[in-house]
Amino acid sequence: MIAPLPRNVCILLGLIGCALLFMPDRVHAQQYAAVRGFVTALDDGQPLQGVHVILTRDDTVLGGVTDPDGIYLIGRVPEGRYILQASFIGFETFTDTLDLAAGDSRHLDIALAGQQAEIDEVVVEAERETGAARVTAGQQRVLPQDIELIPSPSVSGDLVNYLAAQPGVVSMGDRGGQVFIRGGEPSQNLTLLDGMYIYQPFHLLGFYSAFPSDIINNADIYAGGFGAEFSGRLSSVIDVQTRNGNKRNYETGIALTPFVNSLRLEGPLVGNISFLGSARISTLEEVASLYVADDLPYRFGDLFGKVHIPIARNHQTSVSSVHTFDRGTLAEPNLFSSNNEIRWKNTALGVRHLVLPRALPILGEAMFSWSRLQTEFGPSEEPSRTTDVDNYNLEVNFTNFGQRVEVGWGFFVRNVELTADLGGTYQNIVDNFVRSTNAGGWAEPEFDFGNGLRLRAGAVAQFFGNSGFFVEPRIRGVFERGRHQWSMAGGIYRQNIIGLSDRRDAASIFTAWAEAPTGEVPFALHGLAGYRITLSSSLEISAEAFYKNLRNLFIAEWTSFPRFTTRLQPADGQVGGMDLRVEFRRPNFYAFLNYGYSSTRYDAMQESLPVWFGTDRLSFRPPHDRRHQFNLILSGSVYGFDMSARWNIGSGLPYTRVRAFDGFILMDGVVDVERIQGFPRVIYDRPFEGVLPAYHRLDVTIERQMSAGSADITVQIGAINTYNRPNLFALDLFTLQRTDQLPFVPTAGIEIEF
Amino acid sequence: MRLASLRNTTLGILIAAAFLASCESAVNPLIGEPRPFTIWGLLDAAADTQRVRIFSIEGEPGIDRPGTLDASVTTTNLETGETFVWRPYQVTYGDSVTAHLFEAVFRPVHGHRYRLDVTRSDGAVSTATVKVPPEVDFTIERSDLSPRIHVYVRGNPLPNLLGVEMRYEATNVPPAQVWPTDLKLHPVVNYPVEVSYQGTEQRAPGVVRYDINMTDDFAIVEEVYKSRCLVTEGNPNIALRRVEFHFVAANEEWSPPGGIFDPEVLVEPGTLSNIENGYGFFGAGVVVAERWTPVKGLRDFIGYSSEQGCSLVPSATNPSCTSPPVPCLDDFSEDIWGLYF
Repeated sequence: MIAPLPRNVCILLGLIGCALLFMPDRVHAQQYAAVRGFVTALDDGQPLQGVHVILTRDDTVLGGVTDPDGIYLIGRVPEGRYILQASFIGFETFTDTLDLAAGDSRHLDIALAGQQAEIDEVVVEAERETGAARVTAGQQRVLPQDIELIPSPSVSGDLVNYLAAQPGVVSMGDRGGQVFIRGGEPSQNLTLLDGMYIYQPFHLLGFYSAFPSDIINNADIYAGGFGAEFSGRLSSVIDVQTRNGNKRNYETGIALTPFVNSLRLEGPLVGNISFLGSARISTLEEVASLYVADDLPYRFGDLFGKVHIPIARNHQTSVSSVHTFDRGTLAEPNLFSSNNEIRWKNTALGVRHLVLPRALPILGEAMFSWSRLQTEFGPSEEPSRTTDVDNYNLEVNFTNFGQRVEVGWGFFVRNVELTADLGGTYQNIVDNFVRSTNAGGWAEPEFDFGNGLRLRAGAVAQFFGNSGFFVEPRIRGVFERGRHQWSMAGGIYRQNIIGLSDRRDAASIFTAWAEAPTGEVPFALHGLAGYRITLSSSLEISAEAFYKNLRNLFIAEWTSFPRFTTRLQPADGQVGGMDLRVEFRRPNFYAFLNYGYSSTRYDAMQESLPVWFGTDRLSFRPPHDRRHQFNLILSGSVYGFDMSARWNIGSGLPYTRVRAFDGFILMDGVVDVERIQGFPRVIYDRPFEGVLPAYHRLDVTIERQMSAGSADITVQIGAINTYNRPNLFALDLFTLQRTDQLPFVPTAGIEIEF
Repeated sequence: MRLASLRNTTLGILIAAAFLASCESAVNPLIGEPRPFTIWGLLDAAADTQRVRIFSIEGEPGIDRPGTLDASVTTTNLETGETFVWRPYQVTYGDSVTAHLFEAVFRPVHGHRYRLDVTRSDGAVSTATVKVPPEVDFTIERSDLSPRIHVYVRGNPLPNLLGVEMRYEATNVPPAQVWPTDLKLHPVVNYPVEVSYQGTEQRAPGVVRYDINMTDDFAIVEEVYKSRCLVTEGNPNIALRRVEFHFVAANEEWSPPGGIFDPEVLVEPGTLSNIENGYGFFGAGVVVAERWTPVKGLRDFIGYSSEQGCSLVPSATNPSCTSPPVPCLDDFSEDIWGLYF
């Protein structure tokens, strides 16, 4: 007698079965033809995404749009003679005639030549796949040219500046390296760079991250409601794909600014292999601190390298690696703390292999990556707390292409090793080593019902270490009719590896990573709905409402001792809000206006609450709950000068007010009060009832591009915090010590590319 | 036209108001506290001099309170009307922290109620009223042949009993070694272990009984010594010098939440506090204790070693102890409590 399979194994097998159901078998494949290939730019060999590739015959029109790797695949094509066209803005339209017989599996790579002629308006319409108002069910695709519109002290942009200009994204300003997305905490964001996990991707100075725009091909930002291909995080996904190095010519870019110096190298290697390398190092301590009144005790940098190897016509491999480091002191030494320096390093290596099998209309992707985050807090020679994360990730993903259905599915195994030495300040963990394995599979078919209605519905089924087996359903739908688009998304999300931080003040950015207690895996339910209207080729407006229900969170306990603590208490949370975006684009003028409303509330369940406040649960606004946020971005060209400005205003963040200070002596017996020094104590008001002042800042830059021989030179001048607003960064309630964001800082920079 | 104009004006006002509201950049997190003092201390019915520590509640962080404290302290025996004026004095810890203490020479009377008034020159006063617990009758039934002990506490009414503990004053017993030597020395460490009996009492009208089993407690002592690396498999012996049973007979209000003196809970202002118009706690109580040394046969029976290790003074008779090692306490990490209490 055969023992029945466990239920969770059955579910996993069921998901795989569903995926295979849509998988084209050889019999079907032999009835139809398929056409696939890579679309690249002729001049540099870069893959082109968003290229419309269509096959036409009589009234039959089949086709698709290339993905970020430049891949197109048109399956289930009836036999016959077709005209293939590939069109993309700024490139000559490629046209070919194909005779396709049943069972044909044609591989056709297309290299599009650049076009100098006037751009066809229809093509412009077709090409507009990205844009600040182009948000579809929480997802937004960002291209480097979008990032360049946001002012930054670097000549080239950085993804973090674009993120910080979006509604629903709360950054701690120009210091801290923390980004909260729609109420989610930084440790609840999944950040991927070419599939590699980056645990702390944002540098200490808020203008910089591990993602300079000149290495980015595209970034997909999922503010919520993300699909089944992503798992293991509660809040959001930042999925960054880097571009390949130039396959035709060697290029060098050097940028010098008072904040950061950078070097970029790229070019062809052997055959069609290319490389791309980028290095940045901060110069704040050496240069900017010479003319900025505030101390700038920050040092950071990043190093990125990528090699792209086309193994065969239908096989491509890329190897990417990144290293970042940060070191800095966010708060002045005080009565209770002499050295609060924080240091962290990200190191990651990833290999990604893409395959377009000749026999089937399917795209295969295999990825392996290793990531490490090392964090220290305290004196450099003797850190008081350290935490390390090692992540090994292996995943295999497939996409089956059909005429009306496209099925994504795959498997993954992730192994996370967590090491912590927390100096006794954490309640649940002091010194520990944890190894946690997360394995599972996902499947998510996308149905195109015609008439503009598309629906993706799927699920992730996975084992979380010792916590058990979980199934997380996901759904995503889009309905387009004329210039209107309606979208919705939802799903269930769990996170087994959690980041523990003391968030009572913004300066406490030390995050210890730990495995969630067995049976208490943090859980989130997302629901969101959006509407977008394209009023003209220049003007687009979108609005999106969202809701997140969070359970089994762990947050820092309250204590009246003036010291860092991450003694944890369980909490639940709810996040709700809406974003409104208006984007206006003309050839020489760009404006983006957005407003975000967000409300985050946590219900804490610390054991002492009944004693302290007479209630089992305490509802409060966590310190990242920025209710209102408004961004205005203007960019334009006048007399050859490119100007851009960003004005950002955010309502004040909640904080806990202080009544007074006294001392505490533990009266646990007949104590001799003369012999006991006692402990300083803060007499708090009820937690998070106060509101800090609003935050607002205007940044401006002016750029001029010039050519000198074969070199392109860009000169930039600008100003951060142009009207010198004293924005608060951190308020240490134990000492009443205030730390502000950067004051007015003039910047200048030059970039030379050759 | 007028409607459009009105709309524009309203919009302008709203935008201006929003901008002006966001102009304020100063933040004052201090909202103030009208209560003048935090009081820590107790009336000790076994002492002739009483002491209390007073903190002024201030807007400046830290516990250093240099200068003169604007406070006068008096105690009134509410049964007799007798009043005591407390004398202020200061103590400096290390070279920086100045503490304000007050002392008064009197011995509180069991069963009497006292009121402590701490008054500021502007008339603000923090007050605590406390009743000194009645005297207790305390007997221990023990023998030289059994590790079992019965403790009886009698009173009318029965007082609040705190910190009911059996204290084992023990040391490790390092192996004999030649002195001096190049080998790493095994220090002798006096490491007393307190086993709590709080909450284990059996109650009857007018009497509370505690049953103590020193054999069971030895397992706890052994576990503590192992966790501190004071004993090992090759060196397992623990010597017992003395035991003590003690508790505090305290006033009724001296009762922490859940019966546990958890500093992380009690630190929250207002928790375990009987101060009117102030913070802190002012209790009343007396330590009741009895010490004895179990006989050798009983110590052996329980599991303790009779072999004495090196004492902390040179021994003329034991060659390995002619110059005994200094106890090394480096392994004992001093946590934040150790620094302050």
